[in-house]
Amino acid sequence: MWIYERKLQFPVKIKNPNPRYAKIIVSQLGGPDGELGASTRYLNQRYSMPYRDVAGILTDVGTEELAHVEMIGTILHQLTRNMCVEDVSRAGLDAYFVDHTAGVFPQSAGGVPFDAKYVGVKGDVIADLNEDLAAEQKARVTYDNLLRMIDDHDVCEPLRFLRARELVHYQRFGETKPSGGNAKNNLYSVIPRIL
Amino acid sequence: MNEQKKLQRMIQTYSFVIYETALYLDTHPNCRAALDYYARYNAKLSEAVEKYESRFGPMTIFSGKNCEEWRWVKEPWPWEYNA
Repeated sequence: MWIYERKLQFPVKIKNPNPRYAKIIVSQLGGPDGELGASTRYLNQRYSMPYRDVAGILTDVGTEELAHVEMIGTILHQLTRNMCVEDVSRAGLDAYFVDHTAGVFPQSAGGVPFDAKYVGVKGDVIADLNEDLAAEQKARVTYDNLLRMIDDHDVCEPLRFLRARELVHYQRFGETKPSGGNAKNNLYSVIPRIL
Repeated sequence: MNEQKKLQRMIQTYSFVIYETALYLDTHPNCRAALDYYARYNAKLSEAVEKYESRFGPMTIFSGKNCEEWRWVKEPWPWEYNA
């Protein structure tokens, strides 16, 4: 089970609301490479993972991704606080506002609602772990793109933290070599047999 | 920064150190140095959490004390700007 801890993994305190930034950052909540897809992907891949140590890293990274879902939600909430209708229109947030007001809804920057197709679960060790390595890099690129477009220290600091976490998770997934890490057990050097 | 903020920051920092070390241990479960590092910071975290909870209320739903009111819903939530 999970227990809620009354704290963010990294502080978020955004002085200046800016719905324009919220409009693009929302992709890291409910977009194709967002945190919601990440946590759901890892936590669902665990069940068919035959190696206990790899199931462990999936559990722990998947759990950390839930904390990232909360950080992105917090960023979106603080960026859209105290908006008047003019702020909404000026930021081009009209379409979102009509359906969700200032609620935090998982969708991509392009307005596509979160879709379970972002949750890659193949039930195969090699396929799933390679999915995860790619997912971490895709999320990292999304943070790179956001950091290129955002010019506010209060927003960029937590985004930089989240970007760094993608690199660490990539590293840890890449280290998964059950049973001691000799060449025979290196997951990434296996040529799968057709059954 | 007031005392509550300072303790919060300390808990965030120690928790991060521990989480990061745990992920490392998941793929290096026999690393003595990492195991020692984990134990050292876990002790620091417990101390900070105990100090925080005795003054500012529970961090989790399991750490409440028997008191006059249910503090869990009285304190600010972490996503609030003024938290």
